[in-house]
Amino acid sequence: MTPLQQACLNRLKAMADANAAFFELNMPDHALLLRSAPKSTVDISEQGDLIVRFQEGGSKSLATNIFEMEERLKEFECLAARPQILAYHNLRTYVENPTHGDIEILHYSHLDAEYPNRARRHFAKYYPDNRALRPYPSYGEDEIPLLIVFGSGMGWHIPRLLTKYRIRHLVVIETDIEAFRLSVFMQDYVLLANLAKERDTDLIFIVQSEVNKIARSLMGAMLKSHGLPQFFIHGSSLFYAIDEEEKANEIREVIMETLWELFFGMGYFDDELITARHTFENLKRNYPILLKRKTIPDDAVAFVVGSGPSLDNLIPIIQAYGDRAVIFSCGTAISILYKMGIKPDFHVEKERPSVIEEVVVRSVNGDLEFLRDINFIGLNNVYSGVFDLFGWSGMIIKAADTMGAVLVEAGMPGDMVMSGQPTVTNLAIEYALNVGFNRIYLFGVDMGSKVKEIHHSKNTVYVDMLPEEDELKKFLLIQPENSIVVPGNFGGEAHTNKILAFSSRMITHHAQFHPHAKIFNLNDGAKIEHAIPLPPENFAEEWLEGLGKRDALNFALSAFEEKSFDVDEIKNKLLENVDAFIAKVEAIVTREQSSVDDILDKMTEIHYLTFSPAHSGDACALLFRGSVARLLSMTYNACGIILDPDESLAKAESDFMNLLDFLHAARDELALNVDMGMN
Amino acid sequence: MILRVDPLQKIRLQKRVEQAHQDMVSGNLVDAESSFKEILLETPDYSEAMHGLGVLYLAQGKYDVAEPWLRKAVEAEPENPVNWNDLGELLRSIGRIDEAVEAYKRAIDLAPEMTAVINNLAVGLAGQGKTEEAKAYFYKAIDIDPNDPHPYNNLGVLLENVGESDEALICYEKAVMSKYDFGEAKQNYVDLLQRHPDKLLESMGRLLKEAKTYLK
Repeated sequence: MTPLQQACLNRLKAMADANAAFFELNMPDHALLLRSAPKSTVDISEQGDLIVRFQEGGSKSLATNIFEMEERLKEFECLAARPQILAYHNLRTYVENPTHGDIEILHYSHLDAEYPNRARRHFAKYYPDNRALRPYPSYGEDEIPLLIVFGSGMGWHIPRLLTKYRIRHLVVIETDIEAFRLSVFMQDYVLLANLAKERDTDLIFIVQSEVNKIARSLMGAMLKSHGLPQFFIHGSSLFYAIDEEEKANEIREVIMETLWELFFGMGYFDDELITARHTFENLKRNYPILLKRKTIPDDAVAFVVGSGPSLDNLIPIIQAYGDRAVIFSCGTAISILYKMGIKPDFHVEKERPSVIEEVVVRSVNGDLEFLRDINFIGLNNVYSGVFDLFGWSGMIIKAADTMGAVLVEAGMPGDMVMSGQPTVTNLAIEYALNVGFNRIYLFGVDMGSKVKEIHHSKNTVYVDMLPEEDELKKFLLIQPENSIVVPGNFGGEAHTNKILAFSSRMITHHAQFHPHAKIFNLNDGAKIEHAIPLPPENFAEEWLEGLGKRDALNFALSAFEEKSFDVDEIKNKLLENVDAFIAKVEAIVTREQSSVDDILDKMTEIHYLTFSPAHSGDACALLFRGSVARLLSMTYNACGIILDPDESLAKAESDFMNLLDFLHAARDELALNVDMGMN
Repeated sequence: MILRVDPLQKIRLQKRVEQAHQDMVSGNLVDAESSFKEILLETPDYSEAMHGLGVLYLAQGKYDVAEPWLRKAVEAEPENPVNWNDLGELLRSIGRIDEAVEAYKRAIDLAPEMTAVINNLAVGLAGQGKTEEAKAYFYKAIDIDPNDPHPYNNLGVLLENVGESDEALICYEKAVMSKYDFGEAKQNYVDLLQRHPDKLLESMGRLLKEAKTYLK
């Protein structure tokens, strides 16, 4: 090796050392990955060329890589040919009388139907066909709101992209740890970080070899970022620095799904309005509130009963052992327990609609006496009519919820609010773990099923007996498709859906916080991490006698206490917060705008108000974030495809007016419904 | 109640009006006229189209047709100074100076720094024989925008008329220096020097000095 070759090699190795130190300091997880990556390295070949020498043998010339990347950068310049993710709203599908459709009856307002419809109607009026529209979204020449780069490659392309384009959010995804390690020889990551800072680009660097984990890495990074609106996924540009098309497509799908999940998971104002009204009703009734943890001595047993298909075979166990465990009936499981002559100790509900009262009454064939002997636990958003059906009722304040945030501000201990998401069995399990049940048996908590089409126990017959046009039936039959295949609890595979998969993850998440508690899964459904699979035939031999049912129940109930809130003050505070929020949005949208860049700034700022970590506990952020994001998303779609830049600005202005109208109408609805809840 | 105009509708109307004005400037008067009329058929209260139609007829010397449109424009959008100014222009063109001055004053109330309107008002006042007042407005226009040649030129004419030919000559010089292709100002300058050839050297000296400063 000549002195020059040696010097070049030394320089590359020094770069790698500097980058390692940089990652150690700023991205420790990435530093860890670097250390664990295969030890491929750069070297000089016998012909004197700079090469990559792979750990398992073989080598590749680096010059080839540079030329390839240059070609790709050139291709990327052409907007028409540039790969993009397209996630259009249909901006022309307005209706004359917007409603929530079949579930309209469950709401107290229909603003979430009305205002997006207004935006669509407006778009359709001015753009009845595609003549004044682009075929693909563009936000200005060289302006890329979200660029997703697949592969860190040798790193050259990233600073090139950063300097050529005005990129607001740059997500680099590397699934090949070895490639990432090699990039540290070539790419000055310190310089890259500084460049991103200088260009005001939010740089998200994800190194994750498992494609299905990219979603969570991305979500985590987004929540920490400076406001990457999920709807930027539409029209996001893609740069491929890897050759594996299949893998890139897989990643692309995962990203799209993650961002849209985040987008649709943000809730609706119309739902939050129900929560506000019901919470005020419940506060006026002064139900005891969950205010204590760990009130039960260590050996109490809980049976958490859901209405999954396995329940049918597990009923005999509940019948045989029910007198030695505290039984939690979750949602529609009460109908099965009633039919089987089992009286639960607790019934648990988490859903908002007032129709739940009717569901519960019909579930027990109108046998109100049966309900009087049961204790009830409901989230604050549950209709007070449901609380009133039971002999004793206690309320759990919901986390990540408008009214939860308001109540915490009014003195509710923040550590006593509960997520209880996404299903009612999650709420029951979370409660049971928190008050100290340390042996929890899951019945009918399948989290999926062996047969794709089956969701519920066949004993939930009363639903089938309802006429097709029955609104209640329509509500109860809303079920996502079991399209995900996961490991089965007793081996093999099970079919599940997004909600149940999330539910399963949440059980695992809460179980991790209670390492002394054991959760036994008796269901022939999906496997739940951290839950112990327990075939029903082994139940008897695994059974351990716990604290007496009566004592356990009393200890569980003692976690609830009365706490009075000044509801007038809470109402005033809530409305003051809403007014302040609207004023902030108004100040942003009425600011002068002269370019699409200004519009994107406004959108990002509003998104930041509703979604950033700094505002995650704000009542208004929770109240409005879903609805605001939906309206902004439509604006974002429209502005990207309107050909004339002046019209693009004008459309945004119209949409911003629509957004303000929505917020003012929402404020009026909120004041009205809170008053109704209080009186 | 505040009437809200849809920004998208507004921008589309504005673009059509702009196009009609361009047609007017390039001599496509028929196209311009039909564009303005079409806009008014669709949006009868759109003042910019009324104004456009008024200006179109004014430019063609059809004063009797222009006046109702310009009056409609000021009625529809009384807060727009351009509407008042152009109504003033029409009235001055047909010799109704007093009314023109009133119209210019309304425009200035709305846009006190708009030099074109101040200049027009000054011309109107000069027409009424209010020389000192007119001078004051010309100077005001010059103060606001010393690079606008029109107030210099008009002030020059006024000063020449009252016998202040030295000052008038300086005004013409300034007008021409601000806009070298300002034909009217050039003509006024040449005419004055023909009447007063003795001022030529003095004027050339000033222009030369100015040119040297410029070159430096």
